[in-house]
Amino acid sequence: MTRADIKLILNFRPLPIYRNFAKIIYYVCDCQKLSFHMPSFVITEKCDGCRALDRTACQYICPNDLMVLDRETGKAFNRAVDMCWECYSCVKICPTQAIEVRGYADFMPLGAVVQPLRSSGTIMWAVRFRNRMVKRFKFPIRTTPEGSIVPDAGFSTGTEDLKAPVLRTEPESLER
Amino acid sequence: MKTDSFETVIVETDLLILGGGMAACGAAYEASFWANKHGQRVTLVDKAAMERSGAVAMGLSAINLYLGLKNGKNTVEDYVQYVKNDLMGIARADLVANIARHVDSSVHLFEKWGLPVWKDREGNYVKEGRWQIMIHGESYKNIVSEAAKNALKELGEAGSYYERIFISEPVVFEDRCVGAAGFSVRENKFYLFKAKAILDTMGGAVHIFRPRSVGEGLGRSWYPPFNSGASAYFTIRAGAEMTCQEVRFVPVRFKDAYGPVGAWFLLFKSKATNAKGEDYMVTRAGELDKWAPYGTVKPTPANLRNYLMLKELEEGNGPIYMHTEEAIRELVAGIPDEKEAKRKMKELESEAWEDFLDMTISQALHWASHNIMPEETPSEISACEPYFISSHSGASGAWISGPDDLAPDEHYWGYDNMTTVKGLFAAGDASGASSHKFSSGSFTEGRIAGKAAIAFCVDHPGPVEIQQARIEELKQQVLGPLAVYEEHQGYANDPDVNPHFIKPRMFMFRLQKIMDEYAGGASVGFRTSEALLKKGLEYLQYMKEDSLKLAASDLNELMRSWENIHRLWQAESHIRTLLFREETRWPGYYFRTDHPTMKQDWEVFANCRFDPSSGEWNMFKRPIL
Repeated sequence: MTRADIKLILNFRPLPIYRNFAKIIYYVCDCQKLSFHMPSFVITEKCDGCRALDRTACQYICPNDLMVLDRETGKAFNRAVDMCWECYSCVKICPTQAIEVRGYADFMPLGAVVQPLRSSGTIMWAVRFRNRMVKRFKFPIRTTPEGSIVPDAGFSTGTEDLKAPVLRTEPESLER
Repeated sequence: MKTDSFETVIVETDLLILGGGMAACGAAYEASFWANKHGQRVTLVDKAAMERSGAVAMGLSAINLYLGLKNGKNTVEDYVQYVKNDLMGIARADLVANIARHVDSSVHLFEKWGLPVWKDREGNYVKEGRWQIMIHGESYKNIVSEAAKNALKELGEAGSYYERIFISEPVVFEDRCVGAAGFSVRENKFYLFKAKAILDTMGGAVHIFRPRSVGEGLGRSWYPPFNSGASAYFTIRAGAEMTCQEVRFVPVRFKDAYGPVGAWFLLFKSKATNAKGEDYMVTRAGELDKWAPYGTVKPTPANLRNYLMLKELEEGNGPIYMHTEEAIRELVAGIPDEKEAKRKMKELESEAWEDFLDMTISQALHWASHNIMPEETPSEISACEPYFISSHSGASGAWISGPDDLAPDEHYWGYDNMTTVKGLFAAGDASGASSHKFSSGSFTEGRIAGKAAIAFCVDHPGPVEIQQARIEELKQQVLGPLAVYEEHQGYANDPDVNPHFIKPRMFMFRLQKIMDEYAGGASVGFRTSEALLKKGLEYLQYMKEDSLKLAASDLNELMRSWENIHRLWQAESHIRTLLFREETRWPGYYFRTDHPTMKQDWEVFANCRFDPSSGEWNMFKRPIL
């Protein structure tokens, strides 16, 4: 990844809200090392075991309970890479971008990197090919602020009858 | 790990929702509202973290069930017909219709909550196909789980959820399900939940058949590896009647990384061919007549599309290619203005990559690692291994009551989505014979079941009792694998190789080998027969005996042990039902070589029931009504 690539990445807005300026610099520096990493794995240097948080983010989120914090080293690791779905939940949630994915070695040639930067409203992907070509994509992920959901979303429910075939917010929500 | 160090935690509630995926979230959303009006408590228990649990954990690029009833183009009846055709006639019209008439409401809620839905210039949803709409769905599950949690919050102290609790076993008293037993995967705690009604929404089953990739790629199942048959186990062991346990699903996906093909076939109008460039859906069209009337309807049922492709491979005409490059070329070819064509090209490229990045990121890695640009190079597609997923094109699950106003008398017993066991409800991948619910339909079915379960709670206000001795017995059973390990670990110096026990990992591999080789897995071209199935069943009985010798050195292995016990029971019900149905009805999902054709007298539901008191299985037919 060249400096020009990094600049391009930084030009995408908005960057994740939880990342302060210092972390951006940290990211820029580390992008240079984004070389040929090898299912989800943790970059030793970047993982701080979420010391400053009340829980280890990747351990909290992994749907298959694979990520564990090694108490001795203070670093997280994937305890069963062949049970990993490559869902990227750990990659997306990691506050220090310490987790990447190296494609399953039993059918993917080495050298590709697919890395996301997820913010509150968008996700930006950098896809680097084996031949070093880089493509970037940015997609919206949410149109409302996190935490803001009101279950009824302004719809009222047309019945009080617990046995009626009318669900919460119907019939209004059927019409939109 | 000593099991006597485990604390026993007893949680009492009214409605207990098991699972944290789309159906569970729909149930929590709906049940909270009605519980609030009727003074009931709702508790949800998830083995993972709700914001990324279940099959939608990674995200989705489309919502595959949206009727758009308000636009008047589709009707509920159209949808029911489509589902019946796709499943070769085997579907419950009352259940499918019940989901279809409510599903638009769920999708409209998703959009209001913040899910970005693709819109055309007039502001209408962009359709991928007749029933599918496109979304920017990376955060689909985060959004839906937030709504579910906020709905539970509205209940105050009467609403709660527990994460990282694995549910092992149902608790049944006389003819009624009264609770569930499990354990925390984080701390030494045994959990017993007591409830008036229990809703099973613990997903489908993966890793029962040997996957095509057995190295690191073992985890790259099309459906998530953490869906381990908990739903089926729970209802089977509670003594509920099950249906369609033979109707597995074998999806055709991009080869190895299992990226979705829906957008390519439907949105981009791409074609698949054999290595010679022949479109097998055209060259082999004659084969479809043999499977009439379903073989000749449009769209061709998914299993028959698979079947034609499998024929190509049988005859050595692979690889099979999805011609992404031709599809893109044609979509751009009609644009005369060069600048406009370029813009369109860019748009298509972004859409193609988003399809994978939203829901199967590995497929993007697969393209990048093979230097594949879809606008230039075709990609291989392939049939995956078999899965149990009634929310998609499989149908296995519990036999449940339909709604009062839609179900024939034989299909109605008081509460929507209640199984044949009192107080036990099922939705999503846990309920059978109502395929093609997908994410939105599963959420919707959860809502339907959630409301009905609250009605059950209100109608059955008496307290639920579980004897102390029974609780102790359950605790011993649930923590059993830890005790086995504790007792025997000192015998050998290898933690995994010991004549007194089997670790869950090897137990899973043994199950996968049996299922693959005897029950028509991928490596034998999905073919099986009575002789093979009987042999497979014999081997499963050894596994059942050995399941008492599963050993766990920690909580994670305890979870893996139980996941594989769950898989084993799903596998047994599958083999028994494959044996029972003496015909071939879904040739692209499995082929009975001893009964190679579809038979009129088998146009019925093949149901089964395990009797917990006698330990016997009963197999029987139910008519399609």
